[in-house]
Amino acid sequence: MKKRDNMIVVGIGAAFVFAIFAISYLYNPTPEITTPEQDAQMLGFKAEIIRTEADLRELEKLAYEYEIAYRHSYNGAKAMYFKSLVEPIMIAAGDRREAIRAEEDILAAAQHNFNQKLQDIDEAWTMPLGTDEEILQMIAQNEDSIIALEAEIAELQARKEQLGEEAWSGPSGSLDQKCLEEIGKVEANIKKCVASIEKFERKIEIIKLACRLQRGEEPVAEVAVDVECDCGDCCEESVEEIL
Amino acid sequence: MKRLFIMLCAAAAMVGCAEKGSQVVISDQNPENEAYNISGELAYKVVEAQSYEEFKRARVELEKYEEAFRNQIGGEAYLIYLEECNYIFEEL
Repeated sequence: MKKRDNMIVVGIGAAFVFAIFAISYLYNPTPEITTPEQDAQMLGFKAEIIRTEADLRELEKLAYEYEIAYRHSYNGAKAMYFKSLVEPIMIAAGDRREAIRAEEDILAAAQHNFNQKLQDIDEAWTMPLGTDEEILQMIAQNEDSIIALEAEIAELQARKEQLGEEAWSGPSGSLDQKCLEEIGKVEANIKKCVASIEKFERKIEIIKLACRLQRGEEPVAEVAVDVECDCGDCCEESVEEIL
Repeated sequence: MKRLFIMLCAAAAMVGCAEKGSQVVISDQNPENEAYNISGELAYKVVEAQSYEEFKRARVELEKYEEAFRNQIGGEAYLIYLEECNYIFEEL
């Protein structure tokens, strides 16, 4: 009776160990290797059809699995030989993906421009326009904001340079962490100012576009400037300046 | 009841056909050339619109083709379509 119990326990244990092996095998299947040349060729075919980042990662994982399989089934030398065959294929695959990424970036930029321009034209058509004076005032306000932001950027740049000098002048000659953090904050503020300038510039562009679309021309301002006459005397003349 | 059912089926089929008819289909034969021609034609309509209503109509048409080139063709022809439109928008 006792002997039968022992056999049952051993049987259950063996079944358990087998189940664990089976599960681990199913979760980490090792690829079936043929010859290094054939496997490298197969990876080469797969490398030619990659499109996305995920495809490239998948290929890299597969190449690594093959390399491990060669190491386990044969020896390190075989694995190294396989790796030497696959390496140029992986470099070519990386270059291919890089080229595709560059194309995707160009396409994304073109799409952004397309949508942005249509939105700008829509905004320009629906923008309520007042008198010429009011429009000029709006443009001037935006230009003043740009000038103020440019001055702020100049101040921030000076502060950044000062912090840069302070960061290196620590007692031990090492970089001051506090100064570096401060520089990071200043850089973030500069970026914000640049973004705001772009926003104001876009507003001015839309106002001018609205004038061109709705009225057929941009507003003109009358400004007084000194003009040198032939006689040598200076006289004041009124001229029109297109903004 | 049977007549009503047949009429409903006919109406559904007509609506289906109309839907399909309004969809833009881009030909596989030389889509790059088609992208050049259509983008030029439609983008100029947007740029030369004389009223907001006219602009809106032109925009709908332009975006319909943009979607068609994106979903049906993609790649080089779609990029040509977008770049050609962007180039014409610069005239404004």
